[in-house]
Amino acid sequence: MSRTASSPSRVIRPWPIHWQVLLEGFMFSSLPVGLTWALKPSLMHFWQAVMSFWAAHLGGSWAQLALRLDSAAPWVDPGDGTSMPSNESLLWTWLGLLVLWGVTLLLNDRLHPLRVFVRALCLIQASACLFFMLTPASFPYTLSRHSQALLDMGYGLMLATGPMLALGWGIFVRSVATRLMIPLAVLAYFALMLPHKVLLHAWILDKGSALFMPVLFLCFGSWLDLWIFIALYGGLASVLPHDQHIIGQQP
Amino acid sequence: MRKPHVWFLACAMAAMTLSGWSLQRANTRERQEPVSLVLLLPDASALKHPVTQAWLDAAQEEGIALLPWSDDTFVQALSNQRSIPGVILPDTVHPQASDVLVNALYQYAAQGGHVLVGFDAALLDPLQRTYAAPSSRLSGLTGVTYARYEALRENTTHHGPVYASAEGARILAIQPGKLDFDNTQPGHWGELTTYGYKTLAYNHFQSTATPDTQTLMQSSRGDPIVSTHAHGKGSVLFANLPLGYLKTRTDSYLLHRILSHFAIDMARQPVLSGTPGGIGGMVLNLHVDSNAAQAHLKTLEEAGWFDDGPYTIHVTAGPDTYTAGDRMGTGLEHNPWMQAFLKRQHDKGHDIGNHGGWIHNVFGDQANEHNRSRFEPYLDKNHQAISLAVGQRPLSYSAPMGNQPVWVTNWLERHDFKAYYSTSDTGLGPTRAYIQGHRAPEKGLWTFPISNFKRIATMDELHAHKLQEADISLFIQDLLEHVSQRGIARLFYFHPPVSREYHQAMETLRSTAHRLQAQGQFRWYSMVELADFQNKRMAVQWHVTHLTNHKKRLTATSATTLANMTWLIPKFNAQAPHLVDGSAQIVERHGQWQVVANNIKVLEIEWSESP
Repeated sequence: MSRTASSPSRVIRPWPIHWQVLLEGFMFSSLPVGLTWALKPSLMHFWQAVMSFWAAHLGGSWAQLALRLDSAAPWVDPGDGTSMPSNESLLWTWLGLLVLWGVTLLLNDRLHPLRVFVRALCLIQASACLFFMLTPASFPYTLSRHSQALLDMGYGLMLATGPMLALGWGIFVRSVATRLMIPLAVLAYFALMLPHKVLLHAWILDKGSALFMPVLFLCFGSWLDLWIFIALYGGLASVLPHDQHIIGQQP
Repeated sequence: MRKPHVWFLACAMAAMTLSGWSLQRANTRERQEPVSLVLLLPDASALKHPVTQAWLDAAQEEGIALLPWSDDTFVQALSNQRSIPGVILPDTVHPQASDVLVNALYQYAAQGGHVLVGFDAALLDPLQRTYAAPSSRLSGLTGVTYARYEALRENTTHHGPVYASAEGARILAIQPGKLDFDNTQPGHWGELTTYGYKTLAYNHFQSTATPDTQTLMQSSRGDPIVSTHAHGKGSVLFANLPLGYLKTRTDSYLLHRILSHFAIDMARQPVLSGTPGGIGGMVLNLHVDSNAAQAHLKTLEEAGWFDDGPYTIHVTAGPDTYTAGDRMGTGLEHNPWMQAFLKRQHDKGHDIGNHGGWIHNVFGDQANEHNRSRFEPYLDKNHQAISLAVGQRPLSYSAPMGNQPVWVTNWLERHDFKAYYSTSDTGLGPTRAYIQGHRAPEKGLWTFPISNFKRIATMDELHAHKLQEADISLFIQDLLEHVSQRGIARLFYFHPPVSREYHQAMETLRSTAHRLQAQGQFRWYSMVELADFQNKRMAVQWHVTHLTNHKKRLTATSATTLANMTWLIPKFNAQAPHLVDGSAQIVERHGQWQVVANNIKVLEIEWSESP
């Protein structure tokens, strides 16, 4: 079938589920999944090494966190230096929130999405402020638990990356090498990005306090990873050749 | 666009005003808030728990300022860098703790704070209410790995006797007689004993200590029972026993000792002494059970025994002793010599009280919770006979054969008694009783526990336990020296008939007392006198505030008088505390500053804690 100007986009064009597509999708999924699964101990070791590297170079109690990471442990040593907000930092945070909320009032309607996002951040942070003012001792997360949770969820996303790419973007790609290398490159990106993101969180929480843990967890934790993946996926999809056929579909 | 600008400015102004006001308020509050040890409680409801009450009572009786705080208050105080001299996690009432609280405790100790961890504190996850970790999350803090439920299951805890090393006994200031070093425990470890029990067994966690942990007490299997461990700049004391629970079950000794050691030696806090002028002493309690005592009382009086004192003499006043009609009692109503003797001693200042219920052994053997109507008249008759003999109502009491049903305690309260002897809580000074797990109502009635010598309390029992007179003589001497040195008061009792057979022990008692009295470090107390003092002491309001430049100020007030109230302040430097308000004598004693208040109602003193 030749491509004509009137033919529908490949995105909305219906395509039959073909056994060959599924089989190949499964095969191309299984490699990154298997690799991520098999290399989990090495990955954890690598993440620990990354954190130890920065711990040695940057110092500070927050970096000691690296020494306590152990995904095999059902609990994490709570003596990790998680600090709670002082009255002063709570007051400054309230002040900052009020100012930030005030700034959103000045935003043009064209920036409505940004206004919504900033206000959402303000509301989450305000809830955290209230919680820490009223009952800080019952906050369930410490720095190490927060970091552990982020890495665990990041690892989960890495496991899902292979199938999502193979069964989505991958079915438009003919080159076997590309279908293998791109998911591995994405995995490598996450393997490197995740510990650094956790380190950045740890640094912020150390310089600030656990007051910012909820907003970091909810807005800059796994959601951020997911948005990064979507951006990467979008980028990959956008560079696909226009005359690409779905594998298994007759040209 | 004008409206958003107005909103923005209004928000900013409001926020800045609020910030300034709150910061100012926080700073002012910090300067004025009292500094004291903190008892951590999970929430307000825990304040009503008898075990919480037991911890607070023990602190008050030991003269330690202890404030109950919620976990939230502690975490907030820590994050605001408030000065906290020491933190106590009590047993039983605080089994659950969040990771944040545990983390805060680690931080607090690392920064130089002192923590006392009780038995099952902070073991459970607050959300799931199961063990939060394979071993206690505080194991790193205490230097002891314990509560290993996942690995040990039904063997997580053990039940058995506990032992103190000689060094542990010295550090914890365990008094003579409480430890029995004549046992099979390897090394020089003494078994903790109490009156009347062959073995005093406790539930404790199977545990192991790290090499840098100092074990002061241990189980027969070597599990640390009481241990200390340095963490960062601070220190941690771990008690592998449910101390508060034990106090509610009439076994207070270890709670009081451990709390006192923590407050004085580790957190270096000032304490309000339990004796007038901080002078240690003894309550000597004579039990006159029968007419067999009369000749011995005569001999003791002739020997000048009753020129010392004041002693507390308790008499069973009925005509019989072993059985009704045996005519072996003192028969006070028809015994002019005994009437005159008691009157003489009363006039000399001795405290004359009731020894139960009319017929010593009948009351001692048969009175129980269910026959109040039969035996209450025995108490009434005894009370009346003693009152008539001395011309004043007795205010102190001892139970024949240690048998005191709850209704007897209620009878004592109704008749405005101030003190009674007790065979529970052995080794302790005057204390407030717990009955069936609950604190007795606050009526100013004090319990005076006996000072046990291993498993016995007085000379009569030596033979049955294969002990020699020399053993108890040495015990008496050590005990008197101990109370004198520590400035505390304890009770020792005997029956006058033993005075002939155990002449050496009696002489040791008297001569040691004379020697220490001559040094100005000992005196005899009567039960009533000491109970009165305790009631005045409990009414004293005092607190310590933190000033600038490592200075502290103690402020004490009393609605009546502070006379003879004594504070012991740790000596940080050569500079003595100075009076800001009121009048007091300030002297150095045993490496502490001793401040004895004069007859005033307000006292303020300041001292520096700079080295």
